Amino acid sequence: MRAMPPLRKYGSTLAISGAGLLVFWLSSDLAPTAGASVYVCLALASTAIFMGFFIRGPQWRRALGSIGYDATEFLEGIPGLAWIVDAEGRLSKMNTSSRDYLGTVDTSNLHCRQVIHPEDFARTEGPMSQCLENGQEFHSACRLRRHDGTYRWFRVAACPRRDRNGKFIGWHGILLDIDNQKVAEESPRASEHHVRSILDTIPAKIITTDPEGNQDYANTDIDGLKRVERASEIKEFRLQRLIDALPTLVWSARPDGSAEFLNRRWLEYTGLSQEQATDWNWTAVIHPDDRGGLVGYWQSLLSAAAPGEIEARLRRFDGHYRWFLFQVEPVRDDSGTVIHWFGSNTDIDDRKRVEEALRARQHELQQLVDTIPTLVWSVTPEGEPAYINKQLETYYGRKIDHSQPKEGSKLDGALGRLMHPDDVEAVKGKLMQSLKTGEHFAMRYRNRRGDGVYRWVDNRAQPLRDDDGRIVKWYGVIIDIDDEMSAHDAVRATQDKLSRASQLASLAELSASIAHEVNQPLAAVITNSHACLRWLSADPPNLQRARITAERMVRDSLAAADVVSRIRALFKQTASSRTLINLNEVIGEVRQLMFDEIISQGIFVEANLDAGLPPVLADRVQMQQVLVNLVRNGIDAMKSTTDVSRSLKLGSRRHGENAILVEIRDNGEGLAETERVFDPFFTTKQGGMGMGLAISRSILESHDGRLWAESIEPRGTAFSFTLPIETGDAA
Amino acid sequence: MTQDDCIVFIVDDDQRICEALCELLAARGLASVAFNAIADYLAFPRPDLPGCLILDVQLPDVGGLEFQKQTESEQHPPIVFITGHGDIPSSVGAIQRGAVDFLTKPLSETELMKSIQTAIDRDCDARLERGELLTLRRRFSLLTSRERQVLPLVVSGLLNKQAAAELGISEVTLQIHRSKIMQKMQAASLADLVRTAERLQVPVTHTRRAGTISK
Repeated sequence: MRAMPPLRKYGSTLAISGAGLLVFWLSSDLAPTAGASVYVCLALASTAIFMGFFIRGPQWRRALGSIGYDATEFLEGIPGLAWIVDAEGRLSKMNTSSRDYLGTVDTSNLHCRQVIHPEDFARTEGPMSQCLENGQEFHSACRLRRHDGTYRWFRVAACPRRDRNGKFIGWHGILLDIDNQKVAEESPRASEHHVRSILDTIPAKIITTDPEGNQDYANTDIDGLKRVERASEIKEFRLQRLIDALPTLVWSARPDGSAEFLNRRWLEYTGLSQEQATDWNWTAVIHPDDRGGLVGYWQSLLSAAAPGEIEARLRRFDGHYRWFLFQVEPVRDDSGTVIHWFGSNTDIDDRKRVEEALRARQHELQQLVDTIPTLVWSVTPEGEPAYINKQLETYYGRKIDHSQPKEGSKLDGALGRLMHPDDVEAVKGKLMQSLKTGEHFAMRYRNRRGDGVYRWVDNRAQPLRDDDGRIVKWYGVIIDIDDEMSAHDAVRATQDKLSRASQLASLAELSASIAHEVNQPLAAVITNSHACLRWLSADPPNLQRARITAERMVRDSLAAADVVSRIRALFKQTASSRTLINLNEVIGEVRQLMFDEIISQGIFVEANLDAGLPPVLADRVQMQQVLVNLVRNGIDAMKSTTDVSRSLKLGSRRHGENAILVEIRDNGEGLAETERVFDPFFTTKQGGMGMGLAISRSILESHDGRLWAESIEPRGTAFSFTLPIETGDAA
Repeated sequence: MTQDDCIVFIVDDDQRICEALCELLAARGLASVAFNAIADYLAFPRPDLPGCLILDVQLPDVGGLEFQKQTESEQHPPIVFITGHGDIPSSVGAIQRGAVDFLTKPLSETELMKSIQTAIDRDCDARLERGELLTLRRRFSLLTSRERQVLPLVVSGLLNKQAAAELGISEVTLQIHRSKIMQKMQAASLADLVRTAERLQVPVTHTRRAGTISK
């Protein structure tokens, strides 16, 4: 301290003058509208005052003693009240300021008790006598009665005065009017409250710690007001330092939106001075691209008086822009009017970069998912559709409908819309089972494409689980396998066709076998008849041998006749394979089967089928055999038809109440005998066996149906058959 | 046709056909034996008589056509096929392999009898042929080993001188061997001997002009 006496001297003087100025300023009208800076300065000023006194006291005393100024002259120069009080407490001397204040001309016999507020006088008695004893300076504050009778607060500093013998002779004192300060008695508290409210409204967590790392301040709800109140004066400092030290740009604005205060960090970051940034000048450091949006948003917040946040780039002192999160909260008075805006700008540039990188990555993944030639979907653990990729959107021709349906779950709706009605139940069951148990889902079914076409797909899904094993989401892929399935179908159809063709071949074989069965006894009959003739024409005729051969002839003929009845029995045996079939379908199959023959013969086939036919109980294969036989007969009958176009008409319709009638009409050469054609071995065809129609009739009769033929004018034949409708009561 | 010096075998799985055929052949004075399967036919000790086989194409054990292939190398009586429903390829195959005929049931009596007659005639010829050859072989077996060496040289047309030189013997000795051969083989002339040697498949090993045939 000795090394800097001038600083001390002038510093203290300056401090006191500064304090005076501040007191003056505070008492002015500016104070109520002043912002945080004012309060902070006030806090500094008041501290400076105390410091000034502490420093000033002993120096003053020394000056009086050593320089030897005239006391009165000196006292007059002091910007305050200066007194000399005798040992009895009477005011023996005072300066003009004091007289002006007290308004008393006659100051002789004026006791301290008369001007000091009684409460304060009583309070100071003890400390003063104590000071007398130990020779220390007395410091206190008390109220002095002004000439108008009002009391004002004064700061009192006094030291005991002694003569050369050390006898106490009185007090030298100085009093400074601190009433304005006292009016702002709440000032430390109010200021602190203000700062606190800044901190608490800053939408960020703020903690200060002492060097040992113990938390000594936390904003908002971490600790609460109590701690702050406990050492409000110290805190006041800290808060100011805190605001400046916060690793965040903090600011406050006026209700009109102009900047009022910007913390040190803000200024350091932008490289602007407080003056360069106040009012609306701060917008200069906002990135030109963001400025318009930010200002517009800020104004919308101002008019709505609502908190908000926005991201924008803020120019650093070196001209580099970084992304910041601007957050602002309004502060209201008791009536709800916004009196301040407190805001912070948090540097989010690094986060922004990470976000952007993530976004780019996500975009990339998204593109990947959208471009892979597979249909990708996901649902929530509850089965709510969550995502489908672009390919699937295109496939379905629709996006996920995120609106809640009126009834039923969204999944139900989606399943119903997106797949074949026959498959919905099975898929739903399987999917629900998977959702419930977490089992993998894999299924083949028919999906409904956007254009309404049903296509076979292979759908597989797997759950994504979190660390605890809970299912977070289900991810699935759908692969369109319709083409493969069609190929499979084609193979199957070919196989069906082959097996049916072999069934038809077996009919031919059957016919051959029947022919053989009949031919053998016939051959024996003929040979026997030759032998018989020989025996009879011998000389002499061998009647005995002739008789034997004749008997054999009878026997073998009966055997041949028996074959036909055995055919009938043959078809009756297969009655067990009868099912309910749609005859129109069988007609379609037969047309397909005979397609090549029909085409090669240049025949025009006309089908007139009643779509509403009920099913019949019949052996499908036998019905095919009958129809193939009748169609083939028709085709053969038209081989000689050259003058008109060959036409084959297939028809099906109801026949009375309980039967279905199927008709095959050709425009061929026609039949001379429409009943005889059904006899076994009767044929009009070159190389024909004459068994087809006989077998066909047998088959139909075994089904309780009928088969007959009619000649039609001008040419051709109609073969018709009936089959009873399955009424349900038949066995 | 003589009635007792030939026999007709019948193989058909249908007993009624067998009966009828036997009856018809009996009415025509032909002896016949019928079997229902090839195995029965093979088990039967066939008499050494000219005959033929009436064979059904469809048989339960061995098919008629298959059996025909098996008998090709044997001295088997000619076959007449009968079938319920014959097809052209199998009938052509059967005829090429030596079948007499391929008849479809029901059989025409005329055709059947004609085929049987042809078959028996063919069997008679074959049997006669086989008999003559047997006689010649018996005669050939009487020749000494030297005479069997001389025979090929003589029927090859070598001069006695050449043949003698070939064997390293005198021409006179060769002439003695030659006359012995003519005697034993009952050949009336050299030409007769040559024909006999041909039937016995005696190889012609030399020519008069170039000596030994390098074959």
